Amino acid sequence: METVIGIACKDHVIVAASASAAHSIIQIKDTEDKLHVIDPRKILATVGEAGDRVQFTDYIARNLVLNATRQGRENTATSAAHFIRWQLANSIRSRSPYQVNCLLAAFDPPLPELKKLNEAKNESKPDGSGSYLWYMDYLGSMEKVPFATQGYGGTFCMAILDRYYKEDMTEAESQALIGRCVDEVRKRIIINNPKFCVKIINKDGIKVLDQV
Amino acid sequence: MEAVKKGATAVAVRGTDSVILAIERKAASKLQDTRTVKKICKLDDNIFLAFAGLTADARVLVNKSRIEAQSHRLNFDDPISVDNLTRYIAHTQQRYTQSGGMRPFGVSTLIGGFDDDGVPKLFHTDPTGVFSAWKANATGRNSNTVREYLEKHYEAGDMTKDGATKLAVRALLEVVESGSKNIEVLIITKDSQEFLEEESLSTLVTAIEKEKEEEEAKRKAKGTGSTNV
Repeated sequence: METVIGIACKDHVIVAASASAAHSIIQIKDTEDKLHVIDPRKILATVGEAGDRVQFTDYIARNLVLNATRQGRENTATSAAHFIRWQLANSIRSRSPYQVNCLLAAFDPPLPELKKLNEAKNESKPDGSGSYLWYMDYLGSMEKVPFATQGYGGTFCMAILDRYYKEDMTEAESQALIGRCVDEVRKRIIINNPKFCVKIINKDGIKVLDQV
Repeated sequence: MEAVKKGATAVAVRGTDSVILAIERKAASKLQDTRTVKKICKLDDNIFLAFAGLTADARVLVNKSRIEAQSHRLNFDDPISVDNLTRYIAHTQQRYTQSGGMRPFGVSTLIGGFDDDGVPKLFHTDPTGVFSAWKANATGRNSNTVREYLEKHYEAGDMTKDGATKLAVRALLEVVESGSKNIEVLIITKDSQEFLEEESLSTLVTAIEKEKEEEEAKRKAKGTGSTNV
């Protein structure tokens, strides 16, 4: 039904989400944007229960802004991811859990302080900058991954991504890869998902690409 | 109220398209890192607060209002207006004057910012919970002197960003030891907010000092200990 695809390459992250909003057998809208911008450099792509999705992303977004205002600077990608996971993990054992699966896509600018800390360790991203993608589901699990999907269509896309993903793809190449995945979803999922919203995050921020 | 009267001065001026917040930075001891003492706080994207009085009380108030600003955005999907946020802060301050067992916040605040309509707004609250909008105001030590100065020199017509900044700094310099190191200025416009940098601030202060000297010389030349200026 709903599908979300995320690919993290060296200098950008690209996310795509099916644009349909359905209520039982009716498709209410085919221009729904499930790629919620929670921060100037972070996108939370969600699938799941209709009300929960929006409620959860709004709640996360507002709390992240509050945290950033208190700190006096933007949140790092890792801290945002851990915060989201913490909320999901808390919610699963509460009276009414959020039924939301998500992908967090982020691109961090370089942080000089981190560089000093990580100089001794052999970190791949010594100054914390670069692309990040996390897979998080409603049970509170979290994995940092190079590419990920959520939703029914995701199953088909994972095979394609496994085959064609390369870390050093250009933006054009990763867009083409997304196109390939989307084509497969359109072909194989029984519920029609013709339109996809695509967004890309790089060092210049978030850019909305044309609907595929 | 007493705490506010002893607190470091804060001045705010509302221009035609900008709001200026200026505070007196108390001389810190040599070992203290002055950058960590923040007296102008961001409450939301375009709303800032300067205060005079007990810093710790202000911190609590600022924290509450930050939460309120985000809560408003969450519930209404719209940024909170300066008016609403001030009302909330004033309401909080008042509550602590009436409920049992709590002491009032020893803080007077100057809240400046822009709403969606692009019109600059400036509000002032005090420990009793009273609030109102102002064109220009001052709180803290010697605020009366500063306010008198502002009253004499606020020209509603000529309040560009630079004009307002100059007025705010000039007013503050009436009571603050001269030296740009003791002043911090924030300029808020519809789309941006920036702290006036050290260099520009010192240039401005020097220019103002020069003007002051010239005026003083003129006065003496007139021969009367006149009451203008």
